Amino acid sequence: MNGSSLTLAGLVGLAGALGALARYSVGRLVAEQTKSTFPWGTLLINVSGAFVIGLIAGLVSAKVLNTTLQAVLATGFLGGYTTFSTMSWETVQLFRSGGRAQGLLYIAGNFVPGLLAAALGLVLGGLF
Amino acid sequence: MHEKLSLRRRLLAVLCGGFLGTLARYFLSMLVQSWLGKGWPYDILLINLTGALLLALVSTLADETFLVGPTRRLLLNTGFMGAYTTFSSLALGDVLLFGKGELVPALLYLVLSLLGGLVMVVLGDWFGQMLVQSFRRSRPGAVSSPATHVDVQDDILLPVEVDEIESQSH
Repeated sequence: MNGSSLTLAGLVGLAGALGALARYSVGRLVAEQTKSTFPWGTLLINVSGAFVIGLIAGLVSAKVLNTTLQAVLATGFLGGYTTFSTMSWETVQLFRSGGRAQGLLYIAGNFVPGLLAAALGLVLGGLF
Repeated sequence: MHEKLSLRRRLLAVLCGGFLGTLARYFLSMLVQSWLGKGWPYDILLINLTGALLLALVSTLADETFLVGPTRRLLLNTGFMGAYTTFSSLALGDVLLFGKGELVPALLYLVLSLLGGLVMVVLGDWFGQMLVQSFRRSRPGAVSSPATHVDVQDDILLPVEVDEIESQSH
């Protein structure tokens, strides 16, 4: 690895740290506001993050953003912001405590709007 | 012992974990892509499934206050595993496969991620329970550390009130 690719890796890591902090903050804020055991926070985080990663990919294909910036913002920040492991864990917790309906609603609520949001972002970003 | 984690401690745990988790994903992804190519997202699937397994394992250990206390849980789970695994790349990767008309690879990626994640959580939880039980059998009467109070408000992953779940499920 040369100097510039190490610098890029460092920036991706820093952006990921900020993404994780944003996820922690948004997750806590939403949990305090909704006072619900249903994980609205992670859902909001994952769907919004999927939209923005699509938007960034669209902007890169339209040559508005370069791939270095994409690595920092998408692989770094959004990768740290959105999460798969917590979502899977929360789904199993819902299946065990809240019943089948809540678990199914939650996992479908992540994947269906998440994929649609990524597709929408991709199309919108490509328009520029 | 009721000790609340300071804000500084919590922020540092999430930031450090997030930094390391993101770098682990970044480098492992490059490594896997250099072996298996970029045709199908083997890298993100591997990362997400291993992360789900480890997050469940750590959560179970933390719930049993065995080896993992509130700070380590924040560092390892909210920080590291949260940033190591990713939902946004999964969503985009799948949309791109669908967009290229690769219907079967796209569906395979979706189903393996979705069901695989749940299976990994169950496995990680089970493995954690085994670890705790085997420790308690080998040392009867031993109090596992840390015996600190787990501050529920410190961890968004924990339900706020146990009573609430009870009332929702009935």
